[in-house]
Amino acid sequence: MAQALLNGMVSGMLIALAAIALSLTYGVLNFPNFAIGAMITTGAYLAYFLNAQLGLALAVAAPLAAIGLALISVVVAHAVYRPLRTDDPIALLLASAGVTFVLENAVRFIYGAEVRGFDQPVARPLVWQGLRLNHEQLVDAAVAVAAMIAVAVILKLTRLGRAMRAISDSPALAQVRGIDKGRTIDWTWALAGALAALSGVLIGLDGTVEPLIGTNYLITVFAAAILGGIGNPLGAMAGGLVIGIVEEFSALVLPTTYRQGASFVVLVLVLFVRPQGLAGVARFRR
Amino acid sequence: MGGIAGESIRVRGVSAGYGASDIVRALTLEAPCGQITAIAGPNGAGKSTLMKAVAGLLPLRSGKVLLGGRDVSVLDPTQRAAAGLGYVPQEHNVFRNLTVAENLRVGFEFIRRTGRRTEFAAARDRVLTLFPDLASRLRAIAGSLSGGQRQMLAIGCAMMPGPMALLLDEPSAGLSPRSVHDMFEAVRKVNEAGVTVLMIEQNLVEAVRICDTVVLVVGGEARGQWAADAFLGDPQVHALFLGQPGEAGGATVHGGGVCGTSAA
Repeated sequence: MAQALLNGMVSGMLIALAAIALSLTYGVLNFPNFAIGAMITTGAYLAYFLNAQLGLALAVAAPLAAIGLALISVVVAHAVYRPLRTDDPIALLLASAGVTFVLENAVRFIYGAEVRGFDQPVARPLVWQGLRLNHEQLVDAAVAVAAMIAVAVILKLTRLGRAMRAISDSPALAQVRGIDKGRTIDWTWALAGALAALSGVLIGLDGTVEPLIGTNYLITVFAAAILGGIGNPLGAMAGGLVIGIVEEFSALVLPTTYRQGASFVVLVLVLFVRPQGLAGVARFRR
Repeated sequence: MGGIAGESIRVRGVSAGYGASDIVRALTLEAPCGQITAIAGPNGAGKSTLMKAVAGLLPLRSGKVLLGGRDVSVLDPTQRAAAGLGYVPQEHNVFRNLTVAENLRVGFEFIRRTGRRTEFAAARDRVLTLFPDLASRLRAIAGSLSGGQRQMLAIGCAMMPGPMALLLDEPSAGLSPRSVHDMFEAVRKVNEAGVTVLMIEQNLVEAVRICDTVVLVVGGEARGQWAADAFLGDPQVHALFLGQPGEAGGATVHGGGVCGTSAA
């Protein structure tokens, strides 16, 4: 039981990073970014390139991959979403599905479909009171917690964070208040890209790197973001943790193929009681 | 208080609208420096459209907007705010998921980008002196405020950059009678601090107590200007307002009944 809780929390944090990224872009741009899965994959492969091919330590490769994907995300935003000149969520959703195909197939074109792993020394798991925590999980948890704290600080304490939350709250009033929407959107994409990349690296570290890792997590990440109250990045953290723990516990009683099913049952139950999501309490929708 | 030098707002031959038709047509009016000017008129007269055009949210199809001697027509909304023209929309005028303190901060930091900490603190103190109710609720989420407090916060946020003139789009809309009174007192205090006020108002019985001048807008055109104390008694106003011949002695023409029902 305790072991499942621990494992669930760690995998929940990986989901949470991507769910925060999804919630950020949803809040500021008001559309569900379907390409979040492909962004996770691209981030993992950027780190793989730097780590396994260029020989950089993963501790160096991961932040570089985050910066790389942040830049790619901003470029994609300028090349794809901005020229559409629309606020229509459906049009943007479809465009993001297109971005998914391009990113995923670019990865497949370069690396093929084979399963890869990061070049990382194998270490003995830590054992404490019968609980096993392997080295990768520890790194995963530490990085995820640090990234979440960074996001919370940015959102709550910086001018950029206030601009993001203001646009998410009311774009028209944000304009009256002199907030530069274009710049804020660029920074939102950069932050979302960095988080998605980190999430991809950590997921790859936990398991393997292959072209579908992001897509495999896509549904789960959406579930976590919705559970937290979509558009609310801090809620997405809670949503990720809950989903991670539920999936891990479900594996105790159900075949693992039903993992996602279990998290969806919980999602449905929570939304019956709290349609606004877990953190919806302090949210006022436009 | 004091210390703010008001500037007049002059609207000269302004036309604006959505789609093919002009909602505001060649409209001219002036909000004299240091005074409170109300814009009255029936629903759908184009009052809010005019406000948006003056604030810069809607492009002018013709005409000019002058703040003091300066033509602000070519400026975007942010630049107009930085030039000293504050705007309080009728709806969605505070960020409901941000705290009161954050709302005030956001009211300052993007318009006065290079403003110093001390300037921000001074602006905040000034606003909290005007609206003491807000001082005890700085950490509250703005969406949890009462209608009256929210309106004060909205005006307070527009006051943060230190405007010379303020545009208020029907500040009493949707407020309880008591809150309406408090809100008009707040507008009066803002004005006494030196700020020129141009506001849309339906609640004319209350509004004329604090206003200097009332401009009547019907069908997108200015139909005349009255001293506030003469406005409600003028039979011609009734005729224009109701779009029908005036009823003799009709002291019944007031906006109280339509409060909060006008289209944004």
